[in-house]
Amino acid sequence: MTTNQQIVTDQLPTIESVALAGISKAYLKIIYINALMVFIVPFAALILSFFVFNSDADLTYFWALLTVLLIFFAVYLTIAILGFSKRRYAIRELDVIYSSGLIFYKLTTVPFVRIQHIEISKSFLARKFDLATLHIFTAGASGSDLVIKGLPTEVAEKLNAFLSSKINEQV
Amino acid sequence: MSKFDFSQPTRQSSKGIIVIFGLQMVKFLKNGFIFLIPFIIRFINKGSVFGLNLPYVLLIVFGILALILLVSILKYLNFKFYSSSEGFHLEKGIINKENILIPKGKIQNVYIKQNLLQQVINVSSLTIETAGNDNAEVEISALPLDYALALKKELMADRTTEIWEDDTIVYYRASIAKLFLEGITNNHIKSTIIILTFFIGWYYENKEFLQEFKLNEKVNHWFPTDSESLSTIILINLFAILVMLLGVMLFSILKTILVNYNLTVTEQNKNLEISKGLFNKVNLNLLPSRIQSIAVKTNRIKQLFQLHTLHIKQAMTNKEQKDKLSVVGLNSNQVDYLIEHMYSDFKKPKHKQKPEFYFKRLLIIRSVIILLVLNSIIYLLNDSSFWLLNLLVVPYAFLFVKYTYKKAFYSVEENYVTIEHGFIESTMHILEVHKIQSVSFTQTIFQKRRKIASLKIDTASSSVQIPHINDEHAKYLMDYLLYNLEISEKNWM
Repeated sequence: MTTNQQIVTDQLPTIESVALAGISKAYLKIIYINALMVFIVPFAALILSFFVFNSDADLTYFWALLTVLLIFFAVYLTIAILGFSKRRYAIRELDVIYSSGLIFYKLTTVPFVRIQHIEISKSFLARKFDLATLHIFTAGASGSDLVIKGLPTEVAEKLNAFLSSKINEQV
Repeated sequence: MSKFDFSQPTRQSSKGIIVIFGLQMVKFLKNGFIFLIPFIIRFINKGSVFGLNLPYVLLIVFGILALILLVSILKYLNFKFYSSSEGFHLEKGIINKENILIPKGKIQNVYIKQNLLQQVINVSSLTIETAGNDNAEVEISALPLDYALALKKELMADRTTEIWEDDTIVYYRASIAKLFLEGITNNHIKSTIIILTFFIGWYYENKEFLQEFKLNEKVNHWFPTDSESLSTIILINLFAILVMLLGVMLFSILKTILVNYNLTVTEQNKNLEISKGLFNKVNLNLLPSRIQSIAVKTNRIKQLFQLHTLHIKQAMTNKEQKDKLSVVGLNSNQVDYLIEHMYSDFKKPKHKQKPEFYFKRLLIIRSVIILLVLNSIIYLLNDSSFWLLNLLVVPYAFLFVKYTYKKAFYSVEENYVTIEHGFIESTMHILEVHKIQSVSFTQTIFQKRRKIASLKIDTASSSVQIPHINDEHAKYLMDYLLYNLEISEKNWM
């Protein structure tokens, strides 16, 4: 065990006890659309190759390939939808927490004192649903930055204002 | 205080023309050489290019050289610098004039370097590094050494007044013999594979070009292969591998000596400075506030000779300097001493912990999968002699699993995180808790079933992992690290 006499283990503020908040339900729609966009090209390619470019091809292959593609699509979509509930965030007194990932779960914590700057971005799709992405940059490698997608714009702006004030306090 | 006057706009030493000319030539050749190769080959073969014979070609070459020289002279004439109370001023540019002002407070570091040309004409270059991206750098390419040192003193004067007193202690100097030993004990398997893949790639890209040399006939000439028996093929391959290994070793020794020539670590009061290099002399300051993490590396053979390499990772250094921040050929006492210099309250962890057995199981599963894939390829190849590969690969996989697990350790203490890993090489990472940028808890669904998780710790210069530990413990360590990080008053830079 670690040598640490200063604080008793059960007095440490634990992340487990923090209630993480989910992101906006509207983000599910973006997940559906994104999944469709990923699979639209292979579906189109499959249909075109059998019915337009090569109309006398054996249709058994078409059905076989279509089934495989549909299974992939279903699995992809299921993982994306189940993964939605894992996308959670929280703000504590001294840090920001964000978790995501169904198969590869990852929970990252960035202390306020290590935030370099914050960005709000809205993709074309997100704007339609009034959603925004909060990007929290640290000085670490790009993988250590926090990216919270699918926040209601209002919430994202509130968080941005709050975190910015926290950063400025330090200076 | 100084015998030089820095307040007047000055040009660099007139030898600077030579240095600029050299740099421009290198740049020109680097960018243009590939395009020139076909012309050169045609010229050598036929004696003329585009119907132009030797005198004309020489004329063109001289014309290009004269043009580059002209540009170099203009660059030299239009490059002036001076220092004022505001900071360091630089004017440059032939057509597009640039006026640069660097406030002294913003200067992060000043480096003095000498490349081969600069050594020959006895000047040195001075680089001023500021906070910000890689482009925020200013380089003066030709100054007399004493002038450069005085300028460095002037620029750094604000911050480090007491450091410039002359109590420099040379702490460590690597001898040629040590560098030779260091080069010969490098992990050659890795570099052989890299060189091999590089050659294969290069061969396929330049196949047609190479065929002009009629390599095949020459090889056949050296090794008459009328008897294509298995033993001759094996012999030829063994010979080729042996030659390549020797080449790789030679290359590695040469590289180690060139890069680390006259490697010295000096101590100025509390600051460490590394200088090294034959053709490219570098002089690097280690600023304790900028050190993000350090790593001590060694391998089995190096351990026998007491050779450790200390890598120091600083924030905001460009790629080139990042690679050079290492000291080779240290024995363990010297390693401890240098670590103590950077981390004054660091103690070797008493209670080292190991990843869970899950880690070993994962390594076994991965090795078995790779072996299965390899053997199915061999099966498809339908050539029985390839089965012999298993004699090599299976023991390798066995040793890989055994030692990778055996060497994995971690320790999390109030101020320091220490992580050890490796197979042939051993690496020990040490980082200060207050340098951590973020902490991540990661868990795959396979890990979750067995209550296992990993911790990823990011600093401004690298990211390290504590792999496959009990998930409750991982959560505890995360809380513990964050707590210590957040109550710490110290900044990461």
